[in-house]
Amino acid sequence: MSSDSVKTETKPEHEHEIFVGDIREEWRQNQVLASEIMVKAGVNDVTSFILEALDKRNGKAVAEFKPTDLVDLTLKDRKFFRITPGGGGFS
Amino acid sequence: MDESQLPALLQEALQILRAERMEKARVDAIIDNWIYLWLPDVAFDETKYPPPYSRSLWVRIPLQFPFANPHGIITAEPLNPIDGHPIRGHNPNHDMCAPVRNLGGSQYYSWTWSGEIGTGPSLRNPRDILGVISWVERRIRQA
Repeated sequence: MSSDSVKTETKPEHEHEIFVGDIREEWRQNQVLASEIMVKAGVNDVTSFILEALDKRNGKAVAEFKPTDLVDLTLKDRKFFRITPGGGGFS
Repeated sequence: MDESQLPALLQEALQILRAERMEKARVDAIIDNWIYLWLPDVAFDETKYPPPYSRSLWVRIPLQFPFANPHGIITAEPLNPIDGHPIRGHNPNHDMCAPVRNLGGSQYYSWTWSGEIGTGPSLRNPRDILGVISWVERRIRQA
């Protein structure tokens, strides 16, 4: 799993409807920072969260994005997302 | 198990979990200020694990949830990534499995909310239990 930021192809921009959990968002840009998607969904401090792209609504995660990653909304499986706590360690 | 003695916020979290994510989630043990919450269908990444891609396990949730963090999961069988690499924090037959050993729990993974991988977000709301499930799935995917 990785950022979509390596994609270089340019496509015309148009409205993208996405869902972060049950929250509907619209984006005019094709590429959006994961942090912006999370903030729009109501997360105040995005630094400790990961944005996961799902294969369907409430489906399984197929890609994940750190807050600084760009998300290409023109790609497959970029319509449904969830916000997941990103920390962790071992004891 | 009688959940009526659990703190109100934890009871609310369990209700949210069952209503919105895992209807059959249940509390199998309450030990030392922790509950052992059984999750019946946790998603496993098919690119990293062999089938089945939905498995059950226990996650340890503090009675103080959401004001304290989850710590550790317990499985019946070892996590078995396709590439065979060892899983950090794996403790087979650890004492932490004792409360659910009679139900098959035998593999303890001492995973913390914050640490080497990063600082987990502050938990504030019973609804954060849904994020805990996503966190478990991601930890398994990243393990």
